[in-house]
Amino acid sequence: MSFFKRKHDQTRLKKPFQIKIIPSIVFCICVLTIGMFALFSSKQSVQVTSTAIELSLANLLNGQLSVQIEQYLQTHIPLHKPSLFLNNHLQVVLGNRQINQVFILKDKMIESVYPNSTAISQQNSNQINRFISHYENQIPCYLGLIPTAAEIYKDELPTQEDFNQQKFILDIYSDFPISSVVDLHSSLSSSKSNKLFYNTDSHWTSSGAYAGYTAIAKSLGETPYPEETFNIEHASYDYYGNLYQKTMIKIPISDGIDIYHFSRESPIIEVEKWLQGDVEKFSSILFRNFLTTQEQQYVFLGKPYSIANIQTNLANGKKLLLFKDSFADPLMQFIPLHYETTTLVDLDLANKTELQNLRLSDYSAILFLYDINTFLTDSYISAKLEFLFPSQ
Amino acid sequence: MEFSSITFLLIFLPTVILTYFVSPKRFRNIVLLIFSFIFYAWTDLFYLPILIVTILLDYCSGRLIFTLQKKKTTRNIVFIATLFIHLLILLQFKYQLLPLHKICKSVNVLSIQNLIPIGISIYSLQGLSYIIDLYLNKIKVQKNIIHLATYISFFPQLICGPIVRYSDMGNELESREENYNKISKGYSLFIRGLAKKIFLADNMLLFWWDIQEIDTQSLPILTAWIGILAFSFAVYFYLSGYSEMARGIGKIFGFELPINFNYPYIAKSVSEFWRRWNTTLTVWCKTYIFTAFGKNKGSFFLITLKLLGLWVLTGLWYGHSLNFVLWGLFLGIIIIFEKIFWGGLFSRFPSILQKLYTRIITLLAWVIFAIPDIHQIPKYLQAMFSGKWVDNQTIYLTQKYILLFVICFLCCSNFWYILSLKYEHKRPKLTQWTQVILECILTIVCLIYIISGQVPLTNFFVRF
Repeated sequence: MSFFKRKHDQTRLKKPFQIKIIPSIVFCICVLTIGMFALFSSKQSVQVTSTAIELSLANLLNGQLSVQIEQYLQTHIPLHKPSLFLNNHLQVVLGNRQINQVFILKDKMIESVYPNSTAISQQNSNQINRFISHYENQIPCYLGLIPTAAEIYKDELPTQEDFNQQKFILDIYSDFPISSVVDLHSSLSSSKSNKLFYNTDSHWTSSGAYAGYTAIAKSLGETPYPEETFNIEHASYDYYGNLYQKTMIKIPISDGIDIYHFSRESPIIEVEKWLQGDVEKFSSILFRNFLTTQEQQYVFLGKPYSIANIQTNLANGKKLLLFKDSFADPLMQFIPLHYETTTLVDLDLANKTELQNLRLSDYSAILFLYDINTFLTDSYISAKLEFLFPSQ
Repeated sequence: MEFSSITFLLIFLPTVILTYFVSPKRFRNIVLLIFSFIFYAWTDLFYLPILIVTILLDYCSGRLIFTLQKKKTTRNIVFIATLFIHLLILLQFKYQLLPLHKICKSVNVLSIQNLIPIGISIYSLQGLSYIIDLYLNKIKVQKNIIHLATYISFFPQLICGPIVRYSDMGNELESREENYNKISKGYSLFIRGLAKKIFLADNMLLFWWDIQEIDTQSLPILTAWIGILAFSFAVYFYLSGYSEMARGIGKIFGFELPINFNYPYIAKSVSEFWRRWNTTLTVWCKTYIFTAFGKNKGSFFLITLKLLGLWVLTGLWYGHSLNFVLWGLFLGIIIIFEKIFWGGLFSRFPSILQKLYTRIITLLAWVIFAIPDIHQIPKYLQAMFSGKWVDNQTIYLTQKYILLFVICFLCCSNFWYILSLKYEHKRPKLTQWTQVILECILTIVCLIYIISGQVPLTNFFVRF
């Protein structure tokens, strides 16, 4: 019997190779390759796992735990970036001009603003309104909302945006006294022939920041310096910003970082930066070492910080407190030219102690400056302002 | 756990296949059962007891119905009680007889994220088919609880079916053959289904959601038609994609699961569309509901009423909102009208006109299906027939999705099938190699797409 069985097995083995099995072998090879990468690539920190995945009975029962694990795997799987690169390029080849909410146009990328709700922005608006009402008799307060490239260059978009930024800004501004709001929309729109936003980044360029500065300075009662008083240095030519990181598509026209140098002697004498209790002191707002890295946008004031103090030799007694997001950093080429002290506060990063140490009465003006995206999504603005004035 | 998720594709599926094939034959059903439970628990641990209760209920009642052959009254009571419990479970968890989530919230037990347990529409009907067939002595009792549990909880079918009657799967549970041929065919089905779901269904659904964002009053005629066309593709490729994936995985394990969608969009009448659409559900309803009410017996009015009831129930299977009932009713009325009035007349028309007529009617039906708010349905229908023809948005969307629409048209017809049949006879080797190369490319492209994290989270028909 065993002889026959062996013979039978041999005949089974001698069957010709079926080519139809090849796709499933390809699948197995792909799975094994990904598995090998997962085993031998650099270990991801366990900290990320512990923060991303919340182990609890409730999460286990209602299926949230599996959702969290799947989300974690999705972002930490080996070959994620190369796959994203290939996939996005394939989509562009197939004619898709919008990837991850970013329109890929011939000469630039423009990020679409697509809020799920305006609840956070309403909370932010209410809280800033309360703040301004609280301090209105002591310090002049201002609010500036920066429209994104999707609003300024909306004519160039292949489709009309569902979210009307101009209307949104006007709705928010309608709750504030007219003297307290900064009309950045008009200022940017009138300079739209200049390159106001980077081709591959959602932030404004130095030229865009200059257009913003003119509007802010006028609202704050200052006379903006004309553009001719600045010498423009083309500091880099190979910058690929956050929109490139999102899409991984390289458009033909790359970006460069321009730096505006005040033609007279710069009044800035010291820059102090706080982050989590540590203080560092510098003599300039420019961090040129970033120009040789992929993070060239940090050339203005360096890596994120909670509070920064820019001290000038202008003994005019004017002090500005600026609650801001990353759009404010390039503005520091211009704003400090009018103030003895400019204090920048990032409410995302500042902690309660740092905020409570701010002496608001020292300031001659307070400005809230946010771009639309931050204002729509950042709940820290309303939450952390609570620390600066008594809640109702 | 979606079939297109990394967890399923790169961890769960390879693990279950590996464990299955290294296990001795007699343990293979246990392997499938354990992994089916893991699959279920991963998605819906909270509702796992309901699946287990259904299995125990069907097993115990089945044994009782079989044992009580001579005690007719007790047998009938057991049968009716089982049907009643099944329907109660279905009504409670699918149609929220009692608002369980509110009760849980009020006593602060747990916040239930998902109101409908995954697969309840599938495993309840499968359990019912086993009990009814057993009661009618059409099948033998399954004494092995592992086999029965594997049949009811078989993970590939849990999301979108197909609904398999016990008589179709019973023998395979006892003994089945797995071989290279089945594995390759199964994989082929799986990868095609996966591609249908992630490339066609998901993207068409995104398109439809884009259209839904637009106010119906400013919706141009062409956009409205393209929008509902996209939805019709989305729903078809979603359900048929999942069914094909289920059939493919089933085949790898040696099971022959039935075809669920037989090119419904090439139908020449709405009756034919209905026969080709979700076939296993239609067959189930006809076998167990229509037959129970005496099939075609009775007056014309009574038969019509029975048929309408059947279509309403089929509509209700997809969801408990009123639009699903209306969808079933609308198609039911059209089918009745076809039978009485224009069916014969249309059959004499050229094939292309018959197909066009069917496509338009089904598109109108999809409007009812797609919009849960019934007040919005007439507004959308109005947008399809009045107002401006086209705007910039239409041009942009058409340009963006044109290639996808062309692929959808080709894939929902039997174009590829006819093409491969034609060349299989002329050049069999070349055809086979072409298919193999295309499937390899499809595998790599699908994996790239999934790993890149760009697959939209549609979760369209996971819980229904």
